Amino acid sequence: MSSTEPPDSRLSLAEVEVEFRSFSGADWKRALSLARFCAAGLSDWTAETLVAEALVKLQSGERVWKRGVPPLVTLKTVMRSIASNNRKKARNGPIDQHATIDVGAGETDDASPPGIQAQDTRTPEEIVDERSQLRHIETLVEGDEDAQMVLMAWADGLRGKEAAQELGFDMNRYEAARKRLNTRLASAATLRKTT
Amino acid sequence: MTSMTEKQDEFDALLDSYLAELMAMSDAEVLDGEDPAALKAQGLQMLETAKTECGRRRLLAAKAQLANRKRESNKVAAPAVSSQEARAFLRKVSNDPRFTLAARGLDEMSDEDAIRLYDQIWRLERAGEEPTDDET
Repeated sequence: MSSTEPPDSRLSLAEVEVEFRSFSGADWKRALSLARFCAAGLSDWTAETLVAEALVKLQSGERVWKRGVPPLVTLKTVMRSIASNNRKKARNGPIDQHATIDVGAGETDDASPPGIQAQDTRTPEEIVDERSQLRHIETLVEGDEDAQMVLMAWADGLRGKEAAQELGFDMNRYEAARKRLNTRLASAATLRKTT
Repeated sequence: MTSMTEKQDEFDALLDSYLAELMAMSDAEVLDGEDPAALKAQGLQMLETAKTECGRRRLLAAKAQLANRKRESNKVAAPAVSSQEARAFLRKVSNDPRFTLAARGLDEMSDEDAIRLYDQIWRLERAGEEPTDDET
């Protein structure tokens, strides 16, 4: 953000707090659903930790909230950025968080620790692809053709009635597919939290 | 093969569409049977935790800044003095119990060593005057 921007173009820290305090239960659920989407494919982050970190950044002033920008849009931008930075860190870090390993492989009779051998047979391109958020979310709806179609429409920038029309769905079918997608996202996040 | 940048663009479009859908949905649709009061309580709890974390990070940043200032001030060179002035200073501090310094050796010291020792003790004295982290 430019330092020449007038200070009142951004919400003060007190105003940021007021905005969040006025969130309804449904707003918090929207925020958590968005966070689940942003955290897709990140092994160390849950929706809750991502929302919490975004709140810290906004309440400390590390990230600013431009006046007039809706709360969920601001949260989305901050969470997207945190998730993206952590994805880069995880990708460049010394530990491969996605490696499939075979503990005990190459074990010998002596007292040396058990060997660990990579079991991954995928090509580097496949690994990069699978780790991308998009691919991760696509995987969640594998086998559900309608939900896959909805995802494709969204990725093309189509939404709501326009997306339903483009896909040839009536609104009931469209909403049912969207609901299944949300359910899959939520269960994948719960699974990540408990493992 | 689709490039990573294209994939990112697609993901951003997907995320924007998802956000638009969430904002267009009614509260009842979003809640889908969940208790709004419980969700609000969870949200406010996250907000409180975030406020505490902000305070903790501010304190850590202030401590780091103070430690940095301390390091910087220790790097400040002592005022330039002549070898006679350095010896006078060293003679004075040889009576200070904080330093182990034999006054009788001062006359045998080269001018260069006297100035170097003066510089070291001057900076040590200043470091002792700085408040410690525990005192802040």
